[in-house]
Order: sequence, then C-alpha cells, then structure tokens
Amino acid sequence: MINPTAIVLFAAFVLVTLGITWWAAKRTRSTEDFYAAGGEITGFQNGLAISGDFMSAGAFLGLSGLVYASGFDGLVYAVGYTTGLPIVVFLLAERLRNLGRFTFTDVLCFRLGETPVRIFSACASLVVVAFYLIAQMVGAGQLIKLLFGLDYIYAEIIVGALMICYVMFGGMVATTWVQIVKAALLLAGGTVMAFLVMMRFGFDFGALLAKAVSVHPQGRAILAPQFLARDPISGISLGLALMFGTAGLPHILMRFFTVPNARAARVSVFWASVFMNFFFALVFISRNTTRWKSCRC
Amino acid sequence: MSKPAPDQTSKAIGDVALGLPLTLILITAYFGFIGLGAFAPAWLAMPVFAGGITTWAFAYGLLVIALGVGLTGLYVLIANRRS
Repeated sequence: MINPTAIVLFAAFVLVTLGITWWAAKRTRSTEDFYAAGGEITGFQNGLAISGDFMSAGAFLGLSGLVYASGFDGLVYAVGYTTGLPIVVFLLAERLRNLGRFTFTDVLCFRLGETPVRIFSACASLVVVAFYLIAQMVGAGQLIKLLFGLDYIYAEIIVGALMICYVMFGGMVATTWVQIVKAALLLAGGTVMAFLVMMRFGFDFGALLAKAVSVHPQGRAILAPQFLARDPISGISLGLALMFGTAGLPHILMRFFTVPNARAARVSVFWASVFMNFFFALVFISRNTTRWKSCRC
Repeated sequence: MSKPAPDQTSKAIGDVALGLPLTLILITAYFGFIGLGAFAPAWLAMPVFAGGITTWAFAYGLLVIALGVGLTGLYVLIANRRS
C-alpha cells in the first residue's frame, strides 16, 4: 500500500524546499524583500516561477482526472487556462508595476476611498482564499494520506504547517525558488512522459487517440467537447471564468514586482507563457494516456 | 497612502493601443472555440482529415494555446523595443 519510492521522493522534495526557505529567510531584510524578493529575480527565473504558480495541483491532478473521466471536456479547461496570462500581460501587469504598489488593493486605493476599498478587498480575499485554499488543502492532505497512510486530520496539519513555514519565514524569495523547482520538475516530468507515450505509438498522435477511443466507455465522444453544448450559457460562463479569472489571482499579479524593471517583467511573462502553454499542450498527449495505462494494468 | 498627481496616474495607465487589439484577437479565437463547443459541437467533432481520427477540437484547441504564446511574444517584442 505504502510506496517507498514515493515517500523518499516526497521527503527529498520537502527537505530541499525547506532548505531553500532557510536560505531565503537569512537573506530577507526588508518589506520589499519579503513581498517582492527585493526585485532581484531575473526575467527567466520569474517566468519559471509564474508557470510554477499556474501548474497547480488543480491544473495537474484535476485535469488528469477530468480528461480520464470525460476526454476532451477536460482539455477545454487546459485551453482556457492558457488564455489567462496573456490577458493579464496585455491589460494589467504593466499598469500595476508602474504604480509601484504591492497589491491590487493598493492600486484601487489610488483612485477610490481607502477605507471602503480595504474592507471590501479584505472580504473578497477571505472568500477567494477560502475556496482556493480548501481545494488545495484537501488535495495535498489526500496525497499525504495516500503516501504515508496517515490519518487525514494529521495529514492536513502537517501540510498546513509546512505551507505556513514556507511563506512566513522565506517570504517571496523562498516561494519564488520553490515554484522554480516545482515548475522544472513538472515540465521535465511532463515532457519525458509525453515523449515515452508518443514513442510507444510510433509518434503517431492519431494512433494514440484511436487507442484512447477504443478503451473509453464513451468511445468517439471523447474527441470533442460535450458539456459545453449541454448548457451553452454555463459553458460560456465557464469560458469567461477560465480566461479572466487569472487576472484575479494575487500570487500571479505579485510576480510582476519581483523583477528589477518593466523590461524584465515582460521577458518573464514571455517565458511563463512559453513554459505554461507547452505544459498544457503536453496535457493533450499525456492525459489521453492515463485511461489507456489504467486499462493495461 | 497619498493620492498621486493625475499625470502620474495617466502615465501609469499607459497606452492601450498595443494591448487592446491583442486582447481582442485572443478573445475572438478563444470564444470561437468555446462558442463552437456550445452551439455547433458537431463541427468540432469532425476529423481534420477525412477518415482520420484527430478532430478539429484538438487542432483548434492547440491553435488557441499556440496563439497565446505568439501574441505574448509579439507584445513583449514591441514593448521592449519601445522602452
């Protein structure tokens, strides 16, 4: 039941990331350091960190599950996720940076009354964080429970304590480097997996799809979106949420402050879009295989 | 926190002549995809090549993903040349 390889890898990852946090904590001196890594992250590093933020547990595990269960319906999410960052870049990022404030709330306070804006944004943040955090915590807790065979409640406490340590002691320097490590691991893993899968099918995408269709109970229906047409209004509403929801993610917007200048900020979003969109394109290949693999073993 | 002078705000808001058209292109392409899925799903289920298995859904989906990178690259290139 308990998988020793997985536990060793998990422990190694936790140790490495805690090491990064310890190293970052020694370097953090000011508010500027804590919130924005002192503006000392390079464009390329920041690009990797942004893609790390994006390729969350939801994007990775959730998408696999969706594609496994219903085929292309899951890939609609993959396409939607990739449209978010360009919108942020085109319309928001530069304006935020030029105003030189740490949060979106600070920007709104420029134009509007400070007290109501702060009260509203505190409420909005707590609501958003609750939904975001619950999903991530449940995912992480379930993972630890599976890996170590721990009680769910203890798994939750361990994960929660780790998360708080990372952010409280390491600030933005540590979170940035942890995201870089995570992005590199996910990109490398995704690429190797997609390559091996395509090799198994003689690099013929059609053959891979044919296999997926033959083992999936819904057959050819998995090759195109289904749920959008069942309820077009909620389909379009989901499309809107996927595209513009990104602009509301504070941890993504914060990333534009961690680089020294606007030029580096732009370079970083370019790298982020390359890595991220590459990753979600890989999802087109590797996730189709999940069903095929599970049928074989 | 002090309010900035109006000229500082307008400078910060910058020019949208570059970002806005790119946004519109991406929105058109992406909502074309979502719209087809919602109102003409049969079209997305058609194979790209007659008799083939890869559907337009895959081709169009990958196109939207590639377009995102392309437009971002274009934006960064033009904006960095200007500054």
